[in-house]
Amino acid sequence: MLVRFDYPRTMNSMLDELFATDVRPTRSVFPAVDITEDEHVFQVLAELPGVKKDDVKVAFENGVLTLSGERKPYQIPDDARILMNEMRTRAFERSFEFGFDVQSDKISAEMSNGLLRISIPKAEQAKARTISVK
Amino acid sequence: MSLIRWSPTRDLAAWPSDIVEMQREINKMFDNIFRGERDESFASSSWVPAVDIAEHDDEYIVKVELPGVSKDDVKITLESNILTIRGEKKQEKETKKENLHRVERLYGTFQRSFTLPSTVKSDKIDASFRDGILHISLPKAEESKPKQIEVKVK
Repeated sequence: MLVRFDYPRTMNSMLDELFATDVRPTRSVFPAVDITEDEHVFQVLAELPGVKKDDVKVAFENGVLTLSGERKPYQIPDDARILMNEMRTRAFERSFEFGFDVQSDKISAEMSNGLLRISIPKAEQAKARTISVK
Repeated sequence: MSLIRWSPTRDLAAWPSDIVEMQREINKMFDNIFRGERDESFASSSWVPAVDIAEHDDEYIVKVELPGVSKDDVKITLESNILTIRGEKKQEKETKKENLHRVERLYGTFQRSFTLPSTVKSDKIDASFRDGILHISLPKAEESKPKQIEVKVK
């Protein structure tokens, strides 16, 4: 069906879509990841709401950290009626390269409150040093 | 031929994050221009969490994706069938800019409101966090539960 072009109305409906009447969740990559470093470690924080720790795999190989796994759907009773469904269930995989020497045998990971926290200790030689001038 | 309305926010997940970031900036820009006309609550949100709502026989179950949000930073209110969830996702600690390698998580305040289809027992609302998801259970008030009446056939 063709609708006659109506400039003010089209503009309004575009604004409606951008704004208040139809709020949509902010979408980003999944999982969203922050990577920070301090003197001793790199810290990776990945947002994995609703993901069980057994459904996440963390691997480190040749300087590349890979997070993979699956966000599985949760159980809903048969008699329930879905009124809104914005959460997405899916398999995921993301890789990040670390261009520093790290102690790969000392990497640790833990899940809490929907956040996967990975600590990657720097290798001694990669830490910043001051070299005394003789 | 049918015309499909242009929807700039559709299927953002499939886009590279740079474009998502750009979209966010544009929204923010419009946000500032139109601030006077918009409802206060939405203007104060810097991101919007995903929500699932299911209606069961005796209750509504609302789930909100809030990974890394502390329970002390979330406030739930119910006012004449309008459920409002607001709060803030805070950065764990200040990190110097040169020590940030990647920042994809969204921080700041959020707010969402929903009109529930029927009345609930406001004193029996229960909320808890599990795996970064806020679960809110809202038991229906007696008059809004489906009633089953048995009619005997004579």
